[in-house]
Formats: sequence, structure tokens, C-alpha cells
Amino acid sequence: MQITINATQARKNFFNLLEQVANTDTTFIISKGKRKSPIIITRPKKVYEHEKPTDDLKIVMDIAGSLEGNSEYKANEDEIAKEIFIKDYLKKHD
Amino acid sequence: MINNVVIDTNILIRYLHKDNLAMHKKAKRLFISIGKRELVGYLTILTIHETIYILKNVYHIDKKLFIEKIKQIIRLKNIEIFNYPKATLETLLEKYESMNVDFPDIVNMNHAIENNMCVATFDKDYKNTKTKLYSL
Repeated sequence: MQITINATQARKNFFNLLEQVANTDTTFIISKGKRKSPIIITRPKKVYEHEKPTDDLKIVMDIAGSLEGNSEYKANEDEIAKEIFIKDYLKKHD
Repeated sequence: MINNVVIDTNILIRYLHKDNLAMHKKAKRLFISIGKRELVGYLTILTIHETIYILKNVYHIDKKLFIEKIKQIIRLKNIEIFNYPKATLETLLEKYESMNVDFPDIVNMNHAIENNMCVATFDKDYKNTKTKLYSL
């Protein structure tokens, strides 16, 4: 979530703001007067990435085509999806 | 050479689904470049949603078969999600896998709960969840 606040609000709530950034996915965008670029306070990205490029490559190779054999290719999959969406939507909200 | 690429839904589907061999090979080649960290692939939450929708509703693939694969893709170092933390997206995918609710509804519910808000909706699916609903 992104929250935009002005510098005065940020100063008044600084410790709450730090707590929220540290414990949630909240990003604060702090605007100040006529400053063109806002200041952004956010938590560093969680380290998910695999250690070595070889780990990533192995995963890429393992996943490729892993859904093979489940169904045939439909060139008009976009159109089919739209039709299904409309039907579902009407059913859901009727 | 451009090293940043926005990946469209059909690329993601053809990469996972070897239903069109020619397209699958091209999509796989792109993901190999991402795996080798020669290229950075960017996904949007809309692409994730569209991929889920098409795999489930058009190809009738069990979500348990593809959610884990999507999670593995978003964990790749050279995959970025526009304006969305990977950790949050992974949580949303896990919720989607375990609940009988559409992915956009999971996204709405998550935002509402995280921000202590309620959801205004006519959708009946929300009634079986813990989401606070706005009284219309």
C-alpha cells in the first residue's frame, strides 16, 4: 500500500511511520512544498532470490512446459476468456 | 540492447503450457535469459490475474497445478512486479489457492483487511469470508 503524506504529518508521526514501514508493506510518499520529487520511505525488498544464477536457471528449465498435456492450445483464448467472464459476472451479480 | 522487458500474459501462459510448440520455445528462450540474469522481466498484477483466469477458466487447469509455478516465477531474481511487493503477491496467491474466491476478490479483501477497511460489493462470494462488508 502507498500512502502520500506531507512533511509535517510525517514529522509528527515519525515513529509510527517507521513502525508501519518496518512491519508492513506500506510505502510512504512524503511531499514537501514545491519539491518536484517526493521522498519515498519503504522497506527494502524481501530477499527471495536464489543465491546463484544456476538456481534460477534450473527453476526456469523445470517450470517450462510443466502444464503440458492438460489441454489443447486455443488461439482465441482471449475471446473465450471474455465470454466466460461476462457469463460469470452476470451469474455472480444476478 | 534493451535488458528490461514487460511480459504479457500470452508469453507467461505459453512458457508454462507447452500447447503451441513454436510459441513455447520462444517464450522459454526469453525465460532462460531471465534465469541467466541477462534480462529483467516485468510482470503486472493484471498479467498475473489474466494468466490465472485463462489457465483456470479457458484451459480448465486445477489451480493447485499452476499457482506454485507462478510463485516460483515471481521468486526469480530477475523478475520484477510493477508496484507490488513480491511478498504480498505471494501471500495473495496462497490465499487464492486455499480459498474458493476469485483472485481480484482476494486482492480487494487483502487491501481491506490490511488497511482496516470494509468492502462495498454486490458479490455474494464475499459473504463466506472474514471481510467486513459495507452496508449498502
